[in-house]
Amino acid sequence: MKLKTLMQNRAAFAGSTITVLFLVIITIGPIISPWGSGAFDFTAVPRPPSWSHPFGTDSLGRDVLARVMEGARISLMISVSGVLAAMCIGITAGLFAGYLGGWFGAIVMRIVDLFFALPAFVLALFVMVALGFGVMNVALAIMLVYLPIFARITRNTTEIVRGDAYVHAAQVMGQSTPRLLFRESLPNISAPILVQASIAVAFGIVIEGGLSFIGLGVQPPAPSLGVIMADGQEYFRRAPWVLTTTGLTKTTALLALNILGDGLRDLADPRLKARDA
Amino acid sequence: MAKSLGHSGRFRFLHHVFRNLVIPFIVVVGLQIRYLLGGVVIIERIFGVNGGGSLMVEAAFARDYFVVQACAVMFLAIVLGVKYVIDLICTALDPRRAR
Repeated sequence: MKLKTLMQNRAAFAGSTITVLFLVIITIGPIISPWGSGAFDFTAVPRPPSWSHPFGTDSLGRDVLARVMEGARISLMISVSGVLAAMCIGITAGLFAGYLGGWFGAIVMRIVDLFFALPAFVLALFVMVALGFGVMNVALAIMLVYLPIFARITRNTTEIVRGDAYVHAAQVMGQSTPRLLFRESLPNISAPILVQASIAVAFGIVIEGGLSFIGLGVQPPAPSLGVIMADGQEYFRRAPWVLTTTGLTKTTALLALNILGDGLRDLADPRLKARDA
Repeated sequence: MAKSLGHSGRFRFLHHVFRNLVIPFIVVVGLQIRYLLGGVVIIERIFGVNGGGSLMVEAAFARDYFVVQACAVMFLAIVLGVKYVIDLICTALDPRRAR
């Protein structure tokens, strides 16, 4: 998919612009910010937003903007690594299950069905209890939530292209099965997977936020969007800006990723494009 | 064609239009129940409701593995139960699905 085509679709353009802007802010923000994310200032205990603290300060006098930028980076990192791990395993399982079929495909799909029956958040919570709290395990939980989704999408699309001429051509040329799947099939079915990935990253942030919010994910004082929101919720009456600004930041990021996903979907499936115009 | 049978407008709507119309909505309800139950855990925590979600979180903090397991199985049972009922409703509304 060329960059120019991406830019011509309004939804994809808007989504990717906001996402890139967001990435730039959370990457260079903590470097140029005069406030550290963990620096206490007990003379500025909760202060409303001002020019020196655009998002205000929290109950310990920490600059909320600095914490949000740091926290968004951690949240995004967890979500992206979880989704990437899910993609690696899910796509591999889905490719082989869809191409080989038979008992192997049946076993993979029954396992996927099992994961599908559990509510995403309950599954994540279960993983956290089994493995212990912490950043690494949140990523693992997100991976387990998205693994079945990627496996199923990949399997379904692989089954569709299995009968295509280029697959037969590769078979006749004597390519090995893994090479055929990853070099020939995967590039042709990558569009729906990419769409799902951008939406999965957004919901990965939601899962991370939820787990950290109830105290099972990232442990304070390390900031993550969920941790800051849980902190702000405790003294919402006294300092409403802590929860509000963090929530708005999270909403913006999720909206951008969802719009990007919608745009990619329109590009991947031209039949849906008419609706957009 | 239904009109030529001489049914009232109300019957026509309920029997022919509404009946086919609700099936996709009911299917969506079945898909949504998973997300709703996932949200329950956080919502119960925020508003202090003593439900299955809070039980699961409290057990998670206490490292009470059996209670967490039981809660997970309970949520699983709810999801599967709702999906089963939805399948039944859809089959009742559209007998062609029975096969």
